Amino acid sequence: MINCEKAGQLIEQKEFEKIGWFRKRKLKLHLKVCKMCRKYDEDNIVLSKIIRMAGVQFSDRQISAEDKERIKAHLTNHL
Amino acid sequence: MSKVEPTIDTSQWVDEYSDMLYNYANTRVNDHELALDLVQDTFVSALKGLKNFKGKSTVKTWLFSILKRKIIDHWRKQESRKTRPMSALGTAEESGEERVLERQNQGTVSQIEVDYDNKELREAIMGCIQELPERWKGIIIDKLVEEKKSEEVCKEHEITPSNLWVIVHRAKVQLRECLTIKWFNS
Repeated sequence: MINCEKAGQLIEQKEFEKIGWFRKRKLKLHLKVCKMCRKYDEDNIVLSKIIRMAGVQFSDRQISAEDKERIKAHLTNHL
Repeated sequence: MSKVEPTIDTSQWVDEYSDMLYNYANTRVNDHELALDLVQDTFVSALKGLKNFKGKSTVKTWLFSILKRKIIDHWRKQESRKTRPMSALGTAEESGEERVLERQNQGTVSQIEVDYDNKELREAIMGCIQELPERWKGIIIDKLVEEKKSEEVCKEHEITPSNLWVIVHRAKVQLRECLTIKWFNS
């Protein structure tokens, strides 16, 4: 029987890629008997979704014109 | 494919690529000034290495590869100041394991309604991501936010596939706990 740490890692892995049938079976067995990991498994997809959501905020900023000018001036010194 | 001309127009580089580079850097370091410095350093390094650029990739790809290296160097410096090496992760016998397991049992994340317009929730997530150890941040952003392939993340961060899942799991357990505190208890 795998422990909770290993089960947690398999829960993450199975979200992104196929895991072999043997490991899948080991995880299933663990989840059958472990309420704590079942709860984590249940939360996991939502957790991933909300982490992805943070990326929306990450990607839409612009450097101010002033900062761009400062970088340009700095680069001119290195030419 | 854009080729670098012998007389380089750095002003055009800045206009064309600085926002992209800045967003990439700021996502990973969450520090406006540091992200700007990294972008500036990227351009400086590109200028210095111009003679080595053969034009086999686009200027954009080339600049991003320089920036990625700089961010990884930054993480390494931060990491060496305060935490154990990444190679220490991945063994089941770690002292932190019990803590992870305890925390795995917390939280009510499945009750969160995923609402992309919820600014407070987004800020809470952002705050929690920023509390992660420096190098975990990059791995989490690459794997979970940008959904890069596992092989790519492992190669970029120089970790093994099994370390990747250890880090992803531990980071998510920490994020889950942090969100529970910041979101449900606020």
